[in-house]
Amino acid sequence: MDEHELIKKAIKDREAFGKIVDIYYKDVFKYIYRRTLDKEITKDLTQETFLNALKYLHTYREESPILFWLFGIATNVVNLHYRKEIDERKFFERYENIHSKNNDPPDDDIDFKFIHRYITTLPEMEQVVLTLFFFENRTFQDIALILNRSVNSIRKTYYRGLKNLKRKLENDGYKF
Amino acid sequence: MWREDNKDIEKMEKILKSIHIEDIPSEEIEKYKNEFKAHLNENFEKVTSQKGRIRVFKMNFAYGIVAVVLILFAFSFVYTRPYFVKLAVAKVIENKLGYKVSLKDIIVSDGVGIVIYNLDEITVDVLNKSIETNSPIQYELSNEEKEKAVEIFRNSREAKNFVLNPGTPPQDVSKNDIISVRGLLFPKSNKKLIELVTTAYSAREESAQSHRNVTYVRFLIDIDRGTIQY
Repeated sequence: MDEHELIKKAIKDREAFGKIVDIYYKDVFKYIYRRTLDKEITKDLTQETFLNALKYLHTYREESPILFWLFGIATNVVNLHYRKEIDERKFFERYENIHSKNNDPPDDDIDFKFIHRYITTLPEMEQVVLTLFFFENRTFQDIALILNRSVNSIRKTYYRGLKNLKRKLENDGYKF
Repeated sequence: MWREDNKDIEKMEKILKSIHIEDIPSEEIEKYKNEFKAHLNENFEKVTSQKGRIRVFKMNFAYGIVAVVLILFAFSFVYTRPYFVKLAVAKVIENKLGYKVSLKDIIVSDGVGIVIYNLDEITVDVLNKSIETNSPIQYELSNEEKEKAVEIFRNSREAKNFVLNPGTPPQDVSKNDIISVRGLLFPKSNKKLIELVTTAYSAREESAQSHRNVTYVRFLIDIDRGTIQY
């Protein structure tokens, strides 16, 4: 069975959808983890992503690979999660805790945990573009397909994101 | 400045590219996946039925919007139809009789347009584009109607700035003697108009007051609207 048939069947068939989960669960999980850096949250958000995918699979038009379509859903699910956190003030508490523990300027050796803290403070779209580009190794064309935007707009968001990230690091004493 | 910016961005890119990400063990992800699949097996029907409900809701919503639009259209037609009939009547009169009539003077009744023009009642059937012309019938005016007609005439702008012939200066005829007042009833529309005849002056030479000639002028007064029609 090719992918097209599998997707068509998966709209109503439990086993066919299970196969889609088998194929793409890992990629979606890793992407969400790179945005949240929390296994429990990632587990819940991956589940939500696949349940949404099942709900809206009949709307998938095969204009981009299904993995990109799933990444698009995952992006919305994660963004919604962060918005909820901001509404419940959890986000700021978490961010303030990180800052209070991090008064010393960081070393030259930056790890993912460290940079992730700063990336999560960027505007939503910049977070998504930088994560997909650097940590998912996606091209601008891929990101444009995932987010349903033009390549030019992705490129602009990318440069704006890098500038913002640099400014935030410098504000915290990091010297380039 | 641009070069510095570019350099900084390149540095940022280099830093981000050099970051190593610790991967989560595959077994752990596999465990989460199996947990999810177990959950999916239990809830598959529920999720797919939810999808059906969403679709039904969307369909109902779309039908609802269409129904509201149709109702609004039907209601709006009640108000717009007379306007379209008036437009059609004006067009027929212009094509067949060569007159230009104002839309506000056209009365619409049962899809037929009636207009009073030059003391004739013109009835236009829009569907078969037929025209019927009727003359008015004279009727006895009450004193009240007479008084009202005279009052409308005396206060009207048309009487105060009356132009007898094109190119001559306007004159005030509102205080001139009234020669006659008679009621006219138009049979098709049942419209009543009052014909009032008064005097005006025509000068052979505009500046010479002594050579003025008295002439009679006719005004048609619509007492229902309180205006002079002609």
